[in-house]
Formats: sequence, structure tokens, C-alpha cells
Amino acid sequence: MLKLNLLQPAVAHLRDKLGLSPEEEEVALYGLKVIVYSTANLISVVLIGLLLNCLGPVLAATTAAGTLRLFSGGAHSRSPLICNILGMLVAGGLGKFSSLLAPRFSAPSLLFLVLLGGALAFLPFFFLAPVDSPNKPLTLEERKKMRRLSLLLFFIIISFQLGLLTLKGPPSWVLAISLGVWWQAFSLTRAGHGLATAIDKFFSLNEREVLRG
Amino acid sequence: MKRLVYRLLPAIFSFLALAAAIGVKPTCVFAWHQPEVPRALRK
Repeated sequence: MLKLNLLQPAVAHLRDKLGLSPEEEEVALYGLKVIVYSTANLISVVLIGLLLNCLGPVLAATTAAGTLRLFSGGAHSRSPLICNILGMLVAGGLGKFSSLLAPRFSAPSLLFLVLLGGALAFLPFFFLAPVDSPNKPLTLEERKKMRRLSLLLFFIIISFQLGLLTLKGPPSWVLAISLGVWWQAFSLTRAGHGLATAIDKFFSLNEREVLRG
Repeated sequence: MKRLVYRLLPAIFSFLALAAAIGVKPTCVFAWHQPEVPRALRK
């Protein structure tokens, strides 16, 4: 992967001007990465939503998967660029798929889909969450807390979907939220980890090809 | 201008430190890439 890293020089500038210690520099770099990667991800998702003319469903799927991910964790990609591309493809795909498919569903069949899909997605959340990253290992206490929070959020999201269905909200949003939840449940599984590894490998192979010329 | 920049820098650092402190709380960030948590923020 070609690297254009502007974050390190920006933090180095801050370190030089403020006389930061190495620990403070690391903290500032981590803070900057959290802000920049999250903002870049959100912007790319909004752009793909606008491009595919389905911003609402795209944001619904991203919000459902993203908020669940905060507590349940999941498979991780090695590079922020791969993560961004994957986020764009998945959010765009889920959003477009739900905006095309949802009008074909009647309210009862959508309700059935939400409940059945929710019951199936509950299993990975119950048995596997939280799945931490080697870059941010969790303590036992944190694991218990995150598990509780991810299950609570899971039920809040399903309740929100049921509320949307009752109030005759946009069916594409309801389906997009379900797809986001299923995608996040998938990322908790071994298959999700396998996919993340395969995508990482695919990009690093291409990198070698490019470098060889 | 230079004075303004020098006043802004500590505020920027505080903002980044706050983002790091908040960003380290959940299991991971909402995207598929988790930056490595600095030792100073690990318990």
C-alpha cells in the first residue's frame, strides 16, 4: 500500500513547538488518527450515499453497524485506506440493496425479516462479543462491560426498527438497519475475520506487484 | 498571526488528547481499522 502519511509530521510539529514528551506525542497521534480516520470514513460513506442516490439507507446501515461495532468490536483491517474502501463498498452496497428491495416487501414480511434476522444476529453478539483488536486488547472487566453494552444496544436497535415499522417509517431504512446489524454480526465471526485477512492479503499482493513494476 | 498560532497549539493538543481519551473507551473505533493504542492510555 502506498503511504502518504501526513499525521506523523503534523504531530511531530506539535511536539517540537510544545516540547511534548514521547508519551504525550503518542497520545496526540492516537487522538489525531481517531479523528481523521473516523471523519474520512464518514465523508466517504456520505459521498457514496449521494452518488448512489440512497443517502438515508446508507447512513442507517452505517449507523447501525458502526454504533454496534463501538461496543462489540469485530474483524479489523490492517490499513486505514483498505478500511475506508471496504466501508464505502459495504455501506453503498447495503444502502442501495435495501432501497431497491424494501419497496417489494409488505410490512408484515418486513417485520418477519427483522425478527428472524434479529434472532439469528443475536447469536454472534451473545456468544462472541466483544471481539477486540490486537491494537487495543480489552481487560476482563472491560469485556464484561462491553458485552452488556453491545447486547443492550442490539435490543435498542431492534426496538427502534419495530418502532419505525409501527409508525410506517421508510421501509428502506428498516431493511438497511437490519443489513447493518447482520453485517456487524458477520464481522464478529471467524468468517468475518477470514474476509478481513483475505482483503488485506489481496491489497498487499497488489502492492508487491506495483512495487515490482 | 504567529502569536495566535502559538496560542492555538496547546488548544489543539488538548483537543487531540480529549479525542484520544474518548476514543480509547469503546472496544474499537466504528471503522474497520483500529489504530494502536499508546502505552500511556493502556491500563
